[in-house]
Amino acid sequence: MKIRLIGATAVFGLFLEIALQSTSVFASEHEFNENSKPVLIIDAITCQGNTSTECSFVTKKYYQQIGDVLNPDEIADAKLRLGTLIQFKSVNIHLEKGYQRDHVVVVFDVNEASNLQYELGIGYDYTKIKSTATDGKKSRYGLNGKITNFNFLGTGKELSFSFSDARDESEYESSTKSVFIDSSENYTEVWQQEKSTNNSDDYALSLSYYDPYLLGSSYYYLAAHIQYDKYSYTRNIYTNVLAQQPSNTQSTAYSRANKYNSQTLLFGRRFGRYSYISLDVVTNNAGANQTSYGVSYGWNTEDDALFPTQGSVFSTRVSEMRGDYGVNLQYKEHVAVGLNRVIMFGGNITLNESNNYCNACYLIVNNSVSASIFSRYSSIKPIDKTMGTYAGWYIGFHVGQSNISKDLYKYTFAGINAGYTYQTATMIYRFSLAFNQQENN
Amino acid sequence: MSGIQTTFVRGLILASVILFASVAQSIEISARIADNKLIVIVDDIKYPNSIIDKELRSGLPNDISLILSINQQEKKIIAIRQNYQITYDLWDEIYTVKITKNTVANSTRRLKSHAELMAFINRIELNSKEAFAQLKTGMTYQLRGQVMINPVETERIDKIRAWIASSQGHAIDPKAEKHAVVSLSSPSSVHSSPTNLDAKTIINQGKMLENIGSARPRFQKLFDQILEQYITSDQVPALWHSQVSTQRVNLTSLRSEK
Repeated sequence: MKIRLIGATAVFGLFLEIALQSTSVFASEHEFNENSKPVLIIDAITCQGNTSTECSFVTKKYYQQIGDVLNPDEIADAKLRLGTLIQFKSVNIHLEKGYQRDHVVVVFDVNEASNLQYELGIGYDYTKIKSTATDGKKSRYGLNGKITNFNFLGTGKELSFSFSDARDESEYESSTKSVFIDSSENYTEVWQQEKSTNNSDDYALSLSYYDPYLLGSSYYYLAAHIQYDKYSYTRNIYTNVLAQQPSNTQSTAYSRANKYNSQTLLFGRRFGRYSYISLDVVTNNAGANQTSYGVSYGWNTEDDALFPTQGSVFSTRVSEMRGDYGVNLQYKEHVAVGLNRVIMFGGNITLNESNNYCNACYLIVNNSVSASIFSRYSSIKPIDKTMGTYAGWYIGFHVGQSNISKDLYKYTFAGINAGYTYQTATMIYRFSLAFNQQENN
Repeated sequence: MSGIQTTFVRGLILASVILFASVAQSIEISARIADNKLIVIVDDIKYPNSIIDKELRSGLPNDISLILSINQQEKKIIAIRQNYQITYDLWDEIYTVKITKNTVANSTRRLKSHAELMAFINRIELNSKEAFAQLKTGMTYQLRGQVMINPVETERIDKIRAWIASSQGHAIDPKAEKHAVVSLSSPSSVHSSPTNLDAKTIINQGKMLENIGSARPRFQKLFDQILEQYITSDQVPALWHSQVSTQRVNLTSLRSEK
């Protein structure tokens, strides 16, 4: 009897435990259905509306894989990531039924934007040059254009073609006094006046490629650039020697034309939130073939490249070519002083040290230091933000000094500049004017 | 049609668009007291069809939030957020609406058709004992209500901003310095005299290989809209908001409402 009682108790206990377990299972299932998000498995990830964009370019912004449990937060993140890209006007994401119940296909429905952007710029610079013996003036007319495809091969890579033409016209006048002593020890003062007119034309064509996501990486980037330069230069010198009878006037003409090719390859990595470091190699066929190697480091927190209203830019580059070294540092900062009104200020310093003798150089440069500070006031007008139409003008100044070959050629410069920029969804127009004064010491 | 007529018609169309746009975003708000609760009803919500049609049938969860605040002389006394998380079931073809109040799950509704769903979300009712407890006799308050679709949390905005900075920034243009006409006005332009246009300086002259000034198209994308709301206003950024509807109330007026 006792054994039966124990057995009955055990059986009852077992049933009770099963019953309790069953209840807890049901309770948890019930709770799951009511309060948890439904579990959906991703069967496929596809795209719609991508006529010129690779689907993989779109889906790489979504950090889930086939077979994963769908996470709506990841989809919300992906939608915002895609909502930052210039390749798309809009992106909608929806689910479709998968191969079985609770299996889904994630569909990215994109509305592609125009991937082409055109740029056209015109500029004029006037520079007045003054020294103890020479007065001069120089005008520079510039024209440039650029076409960029921001979605080259449908993968978010960039390809751009540019042209530019910069024409310089300058005039220099100098007068020097020389003293001659003849055999009778008579002193003769000879004044020599020299006037030169210089015309140069620098015409360039270039092709640039930029891969912001090298091999699909979020951090590494690659840029390549090929440029063809045609440079022509004409100089006419009129020399008039006074105090000689008759007055001796000579005219000398000098001209040269050169063609250069240069190629640049740059490999970089972004890090932190705004910083980068990169390595570059530049080769050219100017004179003998020359190759320079550079390392750059910097950051950029500007909120826009064309119309920045806040942020700073720091860049530094150290380069080496055949034993010559160059260092360039630049810093600029944008400070908002009102709604769409910005003051930018900054500085730039360049150091070059050369150990080689240069036969072709008009001026032999052993080392040089150039430093300047600049500031600019800008006013920006968002005309139609939805369509991406903006306009802005600026006025600024700069002042600095260059010292070449240990005071052999030293000058200070200052200038004011102004410009107007107009941007539409596919076009950028730029106009700029500058007046500069250069004083040679 | 003459020029003046054309201008007039264009002006009329523009005025209609502006009027329609403002009317489309307005909401009606009414309030009363019953059973020691403040009952607020928001209706006549003109949701944009372009968003509603696509998003609510996407199979993904979408949030419609009512943010209600009670203010006294511009001082916020209480704020309540009632959220409808709507998910369309692709197989059963029904809508599940999970209702939460201030992030606490309240109840779940299942709606069989799109029409039923629209009727449900077009009239949002919020009951609050806590809000009623804040109201005092003889005082006048401002009720402020706003409806939004898919509000975006600050953390998500920061996350995407960090992603932009680390994965999209620093677009380079290896030759922008040389070719940008603006660079004609840069300090370096006065350096270039015929004397230093030799072979070496062509390579070195102003070559900022890491030039970051590449301009890009700037039409307003989804994230730009969200970011602008985040930066320029104290509203919660969202895919869409109604206008803020305001009503002056006191306990007497609330009790007399039916």
